[in-house]
Amino acid sequence: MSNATHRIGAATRITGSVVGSGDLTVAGAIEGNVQLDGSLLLEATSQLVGDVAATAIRIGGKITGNVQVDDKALLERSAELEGDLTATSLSIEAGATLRGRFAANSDPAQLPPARPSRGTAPERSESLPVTERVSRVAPKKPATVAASASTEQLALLSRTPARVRSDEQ
Amino acid sequence: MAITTQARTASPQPSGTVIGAGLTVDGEIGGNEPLTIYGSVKGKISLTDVVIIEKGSVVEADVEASEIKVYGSVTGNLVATDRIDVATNARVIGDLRAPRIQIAEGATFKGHIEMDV
Repeated sequence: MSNATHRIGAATRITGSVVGSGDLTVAGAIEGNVQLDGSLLLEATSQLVGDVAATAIRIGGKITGNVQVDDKALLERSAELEGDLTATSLSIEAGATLRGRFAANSDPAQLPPARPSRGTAPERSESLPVTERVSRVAPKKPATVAASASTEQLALLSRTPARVRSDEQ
Repeated sequence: MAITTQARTASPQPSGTVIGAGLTVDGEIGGNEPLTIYGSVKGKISLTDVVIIEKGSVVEADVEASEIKVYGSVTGNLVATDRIDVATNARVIGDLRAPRIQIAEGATFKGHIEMDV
């Protein structure tokens, strides 16, 4: 079942929850929570309002809501994420927008089951503003923060080497 | 489960929307492109295109579309502006309304049929 692939086309809008296993590609709009045992690919045309839990995510569209993935998260240049992001590793392409916090899954093997509600970060995660996180977590944890981005936060991040401490900023 | 551009571009993209097996949508699906369901939909479906309810799927929803093809199981009223086909081994509990309606031998159906004349 988990090999199934799902697609929400660009001319489709879903209002309600989407739950299940398999890889899901979204080109259209979802208003509601998404809980997926699989990879989520949000194309540039996609619009999602709601919380997301998935194994991995690639964001090219707009999300308003919190995102929690067990594995990797990639924000493409067209991505606009307004909400908190939890992942084991994060890549951000130049031009992506992230308004919210990033928290790293410190030990993917011992993660609690993914649940997308706001304000209840797992104990093992560090939930800090993205600029602070760079100094506290990057040296000991291979969370990848790649490339530059357009927001003030991420612009700061891009000019700042990963090991710079937050008190030097 | 890693997402790679190569894997995505290599596999042919199906047209429209596909709710595969293992996925459940609880709510309303709207749009104007074809919808194919192998998984589960609860709520409402309102499209201006074809809805295909495949074998093995479970749909508990009222469905409005231009054309509705049922190979799986539907509980809900079906309204099509063009036609409704209920295939062999399909199961429909609900009313059907369309200008053209076909129910194949072997299908299970409980409900009313109304044809616009």
